[in-house]
Amino acid sequence: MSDATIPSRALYKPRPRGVLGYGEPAAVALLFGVAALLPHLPYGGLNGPYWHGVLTGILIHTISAMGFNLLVGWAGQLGLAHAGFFALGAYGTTLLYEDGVPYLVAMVILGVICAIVGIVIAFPAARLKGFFLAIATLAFGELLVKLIELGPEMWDWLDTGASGGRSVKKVFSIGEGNGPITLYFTALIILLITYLVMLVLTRGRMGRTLKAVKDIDIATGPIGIPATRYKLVAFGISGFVAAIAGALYAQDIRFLSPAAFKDNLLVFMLVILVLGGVGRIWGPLLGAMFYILIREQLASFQILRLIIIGIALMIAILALPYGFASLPKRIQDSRFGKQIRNMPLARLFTL
Amino acid sequence: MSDGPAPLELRNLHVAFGGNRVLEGVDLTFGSGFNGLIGPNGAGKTTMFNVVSGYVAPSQGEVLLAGKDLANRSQSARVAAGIGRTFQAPKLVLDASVMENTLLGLQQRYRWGHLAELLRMPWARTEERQARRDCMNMLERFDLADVAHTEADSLPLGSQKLVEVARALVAEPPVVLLDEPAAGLGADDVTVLLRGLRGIAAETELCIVIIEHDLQLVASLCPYIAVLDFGRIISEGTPDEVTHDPAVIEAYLGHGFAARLEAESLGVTIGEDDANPGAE
Repeated sequence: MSDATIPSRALYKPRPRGVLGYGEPAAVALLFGVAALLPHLPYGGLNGPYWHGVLTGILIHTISAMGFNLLVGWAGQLGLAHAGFFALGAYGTTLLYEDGVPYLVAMVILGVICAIVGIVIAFPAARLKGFFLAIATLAFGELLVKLIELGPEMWDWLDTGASGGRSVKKVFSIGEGNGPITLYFTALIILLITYLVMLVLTRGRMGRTLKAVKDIDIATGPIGIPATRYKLVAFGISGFVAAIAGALYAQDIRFLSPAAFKDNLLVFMLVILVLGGVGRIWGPLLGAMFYILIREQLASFQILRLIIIGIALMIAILALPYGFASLPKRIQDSRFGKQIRNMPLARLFTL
Repeated sequence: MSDGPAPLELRNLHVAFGGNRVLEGVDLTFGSGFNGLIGPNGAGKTTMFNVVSGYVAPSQGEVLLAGKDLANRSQSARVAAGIGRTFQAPKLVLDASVMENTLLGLQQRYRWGHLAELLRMPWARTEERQARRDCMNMLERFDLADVAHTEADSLPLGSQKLVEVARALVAEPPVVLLDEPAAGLGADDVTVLLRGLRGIAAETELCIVIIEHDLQLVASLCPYIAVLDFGRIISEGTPDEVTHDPAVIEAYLGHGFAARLEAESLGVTIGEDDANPGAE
């Protein structure tokens, strides 16, 4: 290839700038900074144990959904064993920790185990498409939870408690008695790492290759993309992330039972993913925020709550079929958005 | 050019889908430069491409790439060995930019893995930048540099087909298979396509095989043309030889037309019905 360069042409897509003209890294730093300050807001704010729990839940489900998003949103593989890996991470880390392994190390060990299991099930799964893949992986995820539930009856060494119900030894504090809230900050740091990894992967060669696997699966071979290998990688990464999130979740809920990891958890994960925006990097955070906040706000409505959530979800999906993450672009492209941009005041702020 | 094995050689190629015999003993040798492959719909042209790129396994016969047998090589291994191709209906990633789509054509060239990419190692970034530069040069040849960062789905079909040609060529594989690159293109796009292809052919030794229904276009571009009908090669040679071959005229237009058209000494564009089975 000729070495003649074209200096006038941008080789990378120019990134859009925020409303005040700041770049993307600044926006991300600001967001995480605010998230770090949230629990310290003065009274009447978000500093009670209840809010700590809600915020931590949002972080954990965002982490989990980011892994799920790589598999479903980018690679286009409807692998539904995510809740199973999440459960495996929660139980496995708890058990390893009780055997004396430091919690963070146990977390990574379970992550690697789930990545390997994910890759192993991806071998047959890579030959399946769409609904067939969904059903096969759904069954596998349920199998994992069933093993946790019934395992102790068969093997003595598997100490997941009677019918899988067991308490969790506390490692991170969640702000009891106005103490420190290490779980929230641990989750925040892990979320930051997960976000950065996903950002680099999805914006680069991995991202475009996964998109090709999703969109032109049949043509990937003749243009030189080993699609199966990329499907395995996507299953592996999403398994790893699910286990990490599961390990944090165990510390959050403090008591494990298989019921918490059955198909309602999977539906919950799918709702977060779809609400936030499939295949969007910020989708998981927006989806988790919306869903968990609405669920908590409606807690007092009891049975009516489910109906309200159902209607709210329907409206959200109808109004924004591509999820909350598509909202800025929708506003930008709308007549309203164009009017705003043409206002003299707005011109002061935008670049 | 006569020294060394031919870039692409097909020997006694047979393909059958069930009882339907699609290729029946095709022997062809493609040299560097442009090679035309023409024939009526259902003649087996796209199937032949699919055999070369490994999507369809031949029941008999072999495909030789620069003298090396490609049997049992996976599809991506064939791309690594030096085959690029396009499809009749463009297969682009619609929610990715033109640049990203073109970069997919260089997939086999990357030496550093995704871990180096993830850790943003300088050598991996240099590699990516060089790949993007090469893509930009290729897009420039097809007048696509201005839309390099536009999403593929906002381009008209003609431009999408050009992007696909650029993707097939960007790695400069020794053998490039173009499946009806000009079908569905407007006159302007055809001009751009031909200029781009001619430019590349003049600077490299690539063997470019083109399936095309527009006989005038093929005749003006390709010094060598092979005609496929019902899975057999019925004629091959220079455009002049092929277009005057009675067997070709009969295959295209039926027996009755042959004599009449011979008198008119042929300046005919053959029909542009492009519903070809086995296109995918």
